[in-house]
Amino acid sequence: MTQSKSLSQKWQTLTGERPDLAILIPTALFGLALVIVLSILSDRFLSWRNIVNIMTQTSIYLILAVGMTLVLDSGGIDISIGSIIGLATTLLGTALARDGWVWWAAILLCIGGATMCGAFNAFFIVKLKVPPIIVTLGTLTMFRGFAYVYQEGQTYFGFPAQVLWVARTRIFGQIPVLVLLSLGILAAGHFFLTRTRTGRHVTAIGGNEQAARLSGINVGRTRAMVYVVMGFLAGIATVVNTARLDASQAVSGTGYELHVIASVVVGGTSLMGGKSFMLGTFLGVLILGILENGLLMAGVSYYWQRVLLGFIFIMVVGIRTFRESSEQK
Amino acid sequence: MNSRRNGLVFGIGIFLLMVAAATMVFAAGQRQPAGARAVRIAYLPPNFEQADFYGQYFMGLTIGLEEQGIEYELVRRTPETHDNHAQQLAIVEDVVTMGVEYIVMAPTHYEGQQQAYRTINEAGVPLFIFNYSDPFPAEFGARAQSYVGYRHSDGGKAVADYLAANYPRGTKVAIIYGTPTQISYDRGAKELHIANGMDVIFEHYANWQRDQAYDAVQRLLTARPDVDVIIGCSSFMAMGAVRAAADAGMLDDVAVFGAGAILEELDSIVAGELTAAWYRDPVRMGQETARYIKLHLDGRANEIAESYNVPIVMIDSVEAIREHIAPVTYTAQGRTVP
Repeated sequence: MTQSKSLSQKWQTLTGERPDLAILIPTALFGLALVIVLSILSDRFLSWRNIVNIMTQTSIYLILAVGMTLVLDSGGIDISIGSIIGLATTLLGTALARDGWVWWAAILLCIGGATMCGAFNAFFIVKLKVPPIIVTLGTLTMFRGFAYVYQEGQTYFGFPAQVLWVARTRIFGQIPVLVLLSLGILAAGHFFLTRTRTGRHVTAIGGNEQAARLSGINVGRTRAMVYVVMGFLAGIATVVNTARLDASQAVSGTGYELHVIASVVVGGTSLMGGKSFMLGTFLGVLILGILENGLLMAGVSYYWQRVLLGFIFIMVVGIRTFRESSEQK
Repeated sequence: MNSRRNGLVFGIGIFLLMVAAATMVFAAGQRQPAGARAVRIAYLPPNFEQADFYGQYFMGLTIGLEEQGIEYELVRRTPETHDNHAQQLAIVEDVVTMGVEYIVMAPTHYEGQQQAYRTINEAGVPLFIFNYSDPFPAEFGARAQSYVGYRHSDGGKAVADYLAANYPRGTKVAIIYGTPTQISYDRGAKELHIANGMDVIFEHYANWQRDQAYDAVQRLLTARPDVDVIIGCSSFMAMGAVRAAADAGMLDDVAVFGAGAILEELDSIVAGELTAAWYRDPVRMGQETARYIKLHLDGRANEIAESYNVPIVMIDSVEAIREHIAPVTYTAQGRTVP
């Protein structure tokens, strides 16, 4: 009992000094527990090949999740990212395969187009004060529609080696470049959020917009920046996704928004804004990736996978919410 | 007090984790038991419902494997939506890592899954494609052992020929496509209908969804009650169209055509609701794939036909059902052929 009390006190002291650890440590332990259970259920789960699979499969979600962490931290939401990917991949595919653009120009068009989509969202959210859920609900449909119109039902494939490089190349023949790219973006996002003034402004706006405004933060500009960055990262994710599939189709990215938002929330970022953990986002993306991959490797049926994914999502977020509400009492 | 709360949260967390772990173990135990020498086969359709094309193909595959005397373990996986290409690629990577010996796959998109084919080829796992009968073109940089299926354009042509033979020129036709893809256009066969003198007055994309087709047809029947024929480019969209026409009280005024002739469509034909649907025998396709796997296992891969096309027929009556539909379509559901 004495030992238990002492552990509890140590935990309170630690999390009092580093509140982020109160999120990160339990999330990491949960991920570790999952790895242990799944490695018992499948002897191939911890094989190097499978670890690379997990890292590769989660890379695109991780890039998007970095942007979504910023968006949620600012008190907003962006459910149009899947459609931005759909539109951006049609820009890339048609430029390369139909219009004969040089590869780097096509990539610039893709990322630029996605960034413009983010700016379009930002304009309505910041200038016209339309709630983010409404704006991005509208652009979710609109961007996808543009993608269909622009690509006219075609599928383009067989892209130049320079475009495929990001998905095909492995450093030392082992580590995929796209994994390193996504980790680099994660590190940049973490640095931006924790070490820059603008990053702290994002959190301040999400925590209390009125107070942020009174303290001299340019709320509109900061909020607009967040959606533009989200669009930019969606553009990067599009290039990676298109290279990975070596195909461009208007339906690409369908449903990605829900997966990404779920990952970010599992990682400890609040849907209400003002609280985010970039490292938690990494763990959240990894946990969902590990679950999807590991349940398959363990031979769990598809229907049971859905049950477990939903249950674990509620469990992780539910325990955290319960603990936070307990602490506030 | 805080330590008691922390203890409570910790306890709840551990309990729920144990529940999740127990569920995983239980669910993992639900997989098909396999003997020591069972052949591990991955079955990867783009979606799966017991009564649809992929369910019937699966039935044919399992029947065929048993007929061939193959002891097998099937790993069945689908992406969340039939157009989630990235997820199907991830599934391919995972089953290759699992060490499956054969992959039977209907791609989410024929051209869009080239990377998946190449991944399978690089791993040296024999690939059997179904739902498409055309071999991969050289630019894919990949190959499959066989391609079992049919041409979607043959389905569209079957409906066009049927209309030309049974309806006068100038018949007003509406086409409900899935997504704006070549499969939709092949099945819709708009050019053939126009060439046959039909008047295509309405086209809509319902994303292969029953409810979206229902809504589209409901609007169509309000805007253009003079429509004579509605063509659904998939089974579920055709059934959505039938229901919308029935709810509007216009089932006697408009003919609805389906695609695939799944059990629900067959029931609807028997009930006099759906006019007709083209049919390609998925059970036969599954059995044929099983036969190819057996040939491969026996070291007779050179005898496998690269491309196998099942014929397409129009089902418009009980007699046609008795003549063409595989009886197992009914008996597997505990029913008798009408």
